[in-house]
Amino acid sequence: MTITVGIFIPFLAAALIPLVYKRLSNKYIGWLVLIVPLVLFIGLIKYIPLVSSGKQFDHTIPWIPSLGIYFTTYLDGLSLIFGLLITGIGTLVILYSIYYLHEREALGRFYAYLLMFMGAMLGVVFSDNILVLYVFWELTSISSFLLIAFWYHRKQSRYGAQKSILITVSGGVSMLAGFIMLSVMANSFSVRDLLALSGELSDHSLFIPAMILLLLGALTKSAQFPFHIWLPDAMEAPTPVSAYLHSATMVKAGIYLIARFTPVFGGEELWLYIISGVGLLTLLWGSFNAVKQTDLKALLAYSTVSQLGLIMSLIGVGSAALKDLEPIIYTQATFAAMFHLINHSTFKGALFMVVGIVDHNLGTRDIRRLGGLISLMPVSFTIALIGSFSMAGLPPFNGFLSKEMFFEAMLNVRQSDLFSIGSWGVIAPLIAWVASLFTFVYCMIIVFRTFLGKHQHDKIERKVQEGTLGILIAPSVLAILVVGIFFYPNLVGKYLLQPAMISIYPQYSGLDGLTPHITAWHGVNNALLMTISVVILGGLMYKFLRYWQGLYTIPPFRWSIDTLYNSVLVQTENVSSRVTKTYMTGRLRDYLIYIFLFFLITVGGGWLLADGIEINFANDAPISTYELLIILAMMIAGISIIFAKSRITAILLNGVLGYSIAILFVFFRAPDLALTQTVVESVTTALFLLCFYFLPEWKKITSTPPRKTKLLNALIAITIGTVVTIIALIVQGNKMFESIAFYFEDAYRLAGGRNIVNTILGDFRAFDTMLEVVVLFIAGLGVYTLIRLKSEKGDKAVEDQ
Amino acid sequence: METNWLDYDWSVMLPEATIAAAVLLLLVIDMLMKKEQDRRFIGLLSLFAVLAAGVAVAFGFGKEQTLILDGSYLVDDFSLVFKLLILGGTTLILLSALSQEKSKEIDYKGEFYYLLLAATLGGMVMVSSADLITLFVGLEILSIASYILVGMRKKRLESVEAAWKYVVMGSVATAFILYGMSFLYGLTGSTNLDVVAERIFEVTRGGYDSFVYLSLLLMLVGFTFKAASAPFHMWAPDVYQGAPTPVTTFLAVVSKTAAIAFILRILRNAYLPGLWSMGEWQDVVSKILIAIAVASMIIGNVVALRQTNTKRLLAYSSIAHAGYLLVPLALFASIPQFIVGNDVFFGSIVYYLLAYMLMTTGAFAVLTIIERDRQDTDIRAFAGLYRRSPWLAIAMSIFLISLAGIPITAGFFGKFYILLNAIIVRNLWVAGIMMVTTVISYYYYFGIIRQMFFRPPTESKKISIPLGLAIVIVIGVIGTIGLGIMPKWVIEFVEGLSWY
Repeated sequence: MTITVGIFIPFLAAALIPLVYKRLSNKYIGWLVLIVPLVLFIGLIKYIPLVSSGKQFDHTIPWIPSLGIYFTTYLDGLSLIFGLLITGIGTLVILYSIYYLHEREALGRFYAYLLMFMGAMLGVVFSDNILVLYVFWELTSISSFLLIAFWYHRKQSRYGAQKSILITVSGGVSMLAGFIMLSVMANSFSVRDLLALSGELSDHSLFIPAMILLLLGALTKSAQFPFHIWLPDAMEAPTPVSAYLHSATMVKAGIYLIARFTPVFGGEELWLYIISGVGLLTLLWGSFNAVKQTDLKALLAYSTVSQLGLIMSLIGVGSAALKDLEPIIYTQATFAAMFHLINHSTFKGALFMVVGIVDHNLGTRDIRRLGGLISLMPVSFTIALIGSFSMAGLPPFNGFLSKEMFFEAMLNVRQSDLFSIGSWGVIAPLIAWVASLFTFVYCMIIVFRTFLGKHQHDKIERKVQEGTLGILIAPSVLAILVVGIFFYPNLVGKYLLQPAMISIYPQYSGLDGLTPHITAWHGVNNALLMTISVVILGGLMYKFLRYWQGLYTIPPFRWSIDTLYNSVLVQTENVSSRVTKTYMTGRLRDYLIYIFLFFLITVGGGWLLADGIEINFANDAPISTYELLIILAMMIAGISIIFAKSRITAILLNGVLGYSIAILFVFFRAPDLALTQTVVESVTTALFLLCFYFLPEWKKITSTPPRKTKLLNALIAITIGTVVTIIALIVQGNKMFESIAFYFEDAYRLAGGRNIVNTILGDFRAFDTMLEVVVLFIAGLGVYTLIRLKSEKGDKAVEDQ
Repeated sequence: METNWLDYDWSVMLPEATIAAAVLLLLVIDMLMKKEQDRRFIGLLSLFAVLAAGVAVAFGFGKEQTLILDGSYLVDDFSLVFKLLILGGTTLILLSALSQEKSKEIDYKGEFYYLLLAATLGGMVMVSSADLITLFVGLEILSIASYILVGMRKKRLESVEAAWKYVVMGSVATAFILYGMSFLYGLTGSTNLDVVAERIFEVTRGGYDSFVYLSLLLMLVGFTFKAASAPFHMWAPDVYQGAPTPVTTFLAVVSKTAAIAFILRILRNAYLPGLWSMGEWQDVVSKILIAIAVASMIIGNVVALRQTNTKRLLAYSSIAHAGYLLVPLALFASIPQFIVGNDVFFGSIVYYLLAYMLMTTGAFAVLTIIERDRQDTDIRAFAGLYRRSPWLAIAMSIFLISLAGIPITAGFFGKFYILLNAIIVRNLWVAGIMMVTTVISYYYYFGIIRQMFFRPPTESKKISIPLGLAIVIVIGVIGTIGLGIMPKWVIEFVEGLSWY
């Protein structure tokens, strides 16, 4: 219950902001907002002992029971870690933002979006129902979009916001499809039901599609290769947002999702290949590209991409535990992933905040203009040093611990021949090692390029000073955590990681080594050797950076997925306009052609294919000479209409057609029809003539259409005519029902008349005929009124424009 | 035994009678009024008539289905639901139109109202028909009234052009429908849908299947035209743009609803039972419908990307939505026991139509306000709306987000519901196309949102919002969000109805 309420508190607060915003000075709004995450954080802390003792909490509200959709919240070890990160880092970020954002900014809007994000993110991790989870998932994308575009007057902000939402929301939609498939398979929308069924689903035909779709959602959200491109552009957001959404919480939603669904999919080899493969690739690509960045925030963005790849690859390897006979080797990888997840949030958060302070105080974060800040900003320097060294994997910082575990996990991949790829298994630790080299280099860049070297007074417009006490609190807390976790890692292990591990591997919960004891010193082993070689070689690489920087201009290293993204957008728009130009021309003639062509192809083509053309003249009556003559006259009249030069000619020719039909009716002994036809024809001809009196002159079309168009028109007209004629003939040839002629044989006896038509008219259709006359009368009245109306107005020409 | 026509239970036609009486009454009143007199109360009376008819329809639920007029007029839950949708849409449109009184462009304001009512009446007749003739009469009442409505702004070139295109193409479409109907009659010897259904089985088995398909295809040409779905959606952008905005809304919402009901009725009552048992439905008809749905989704969404006029953009979006609506229609016979399960599919169609009605009328209402303010329907007219009128911008965003199918809006649940059904029957590639096109649609819907929030306004004057439009927007917002948060109310209601 409390969890459900907890999710809605931020939304409620966000909704209240516009109400209090106008009455409150901008100075206090941040402090007021700060209460929300703080209260939630304290509330969640109380759950730590309960959860670590094996308890779980859930609460259900029926939402759409007929579809089996319930609003269920669920708290276990895994979601608790994320919940603590969301509220804990959230508290620090809001505290930081109070000092970071200027009072003149639209703070109400900012905090409303931020709270909305916080609630959505809590919803993602605490939802048991996958549909509810999806709803919150998309809400995080939307709030991220709004926050990136916070300074929307900048073109780059708008570009970044659009890019992020297009990529993450598309991923979200595919995840939704995956979820729906899962729910169809398991006949339930509940995550726990899915997990309970996990073993039974893998034979289902939808299993693999569901898995891939779900992974697309997770990989786009967690900025994995090749979807990572939105994250660097998202750095246009204010720094508190980058620290919060784009490094600590939102981008980890994908990791949460994968960890959550590991019990369902973990046994599938493809799951392992995709996640660890994409993770490793992202790790390498991100770290490699981070080195070439000159904007500190872009550098941090690429570093986040790469670190997320690291966690991802660990979770991928960890899923092997569900297949292997020795699960402990692999569960350690997942353990390392969860540990690094926490560590990354601490050191990366601190780094973002420091970069924010530099940006805030100096007005730039371009490393080419920075340097020598150590004496001017000593506290910031210390925090940056702690953060960077932790990220580089150096002791005595928490990054060292998880990095070592990462190396070990990757080495295990090779030793246990996990992928059954023999000596190719060396790739995993190799990539890990190479990526760590680049990681080391960019970590050094962050610290030394910014804080050491010469201060470039000429490039900085402002007077440089250390950040205020207030703004330094949040990063300092994180820096203290970075060091603290190094010294007391097993506190984290016992209270946070162990319950999470049990959530991911419920079947191994009794196993001893599920949560290994974390020690900083575990003797000289391969992992340590790898770290030492990274430090030495990385140091050299940093020293000689300018000698190999040229590498980034050579094709395979220069490529970027951004170019692809941009060109896809442009191409789609091009296709769209081409379709519009060629298909949706806005010309009536073209549209009619489409309809006729459709008719031709489906009807004519269908019949040809089905060999259905069977014309049978057997039942037809003989054609007399008179009839033939009339029909000839009609044909001539019909064709001549096309070539008529004036309206009058056309109308008269049309009249010929109509009167000929009337004569045909006479031949067929249907005097009433003939009469009606004659009357109708006369009236319409008269009406036409009357109308033309009011119409403007018939302008000759000066530019005759090209011959080709004319030919095409003629061709279509003739084919349509032929097809319709054929249909009529086919239909004539088929006798579906008994002849009704025998009814008429008794006509004289029953109705007392020799002319059948007359008897029908007299006996059955008198009422019809009367109504027909009434209709004609009404129509005549209408015409009369129209003419009167016009003549009253005088001879004013009709406005036809 | 001969049934006397006085014996029919005429009370079930009370809603239609109300509208018809209102049309005639208003016609006479309008004729007797002086030219300069304010026509607003005619609008109010129409609104009253529509609401009264709506109440009468609502009271019809829960009763036995009634068949009157020699089996040609059927009042069942199906027709009642669609009548409610039609009347609901008309109510919202009348409310928006009442605010437009001041505009000088339409000379015949009285006519606008009773033509709108006549068109509504046509729609109601259509959804209640159990006979081809009644169906056609309803269709034509609706169409002819719409042709005139489109050309109401007769001093505007684009309006006249739109009306002309609509008449010509609409008549062609009507001719196709009539041609198809005549084949159906020729094959089965009856215009009554139930009789047709019985005979289609024999006729198809008797080797006349090509004629059966011919009749269906011909009617589909007409139907896709009326519902503005591919491949005969071409008129929609021009006509939507040229018509006065309330009329555009009517075409997008009420006309489309009636057309969907039309095809549902014909397919389900006439073709489905016979073709189903032969397996022909699954093999042929279902595939044709899927092709239409897929083409609509792709064309509507892809072409909308490059539109700069909001009305045209919404026209393409309505084409795409016709595609989404056709997905359950195309799939509803794919599950083995379709009779048991198809209330779910009808449920998803009705839910989506309701969601579509709310978000589309809402979006058009906002567009009307912008049009009044800027005399322009270009997307750029929305620039900086958030600065000038934040609530209006937020409302429009809600409508657009719902049209795009993003939670937690009615549009999202509508799409989710359809997607769920598509996956249940394992039509994965249709589901896939629906997803991809949905993602494409985000791009252009967000284009408008970007204009509203991220662009500077060209003027800073406050926007005045007339009462009628404000009511429409508020109803739209409450409905869109409310149905998104609490979809169960509608879903449970619709699934609780008897669809057979």
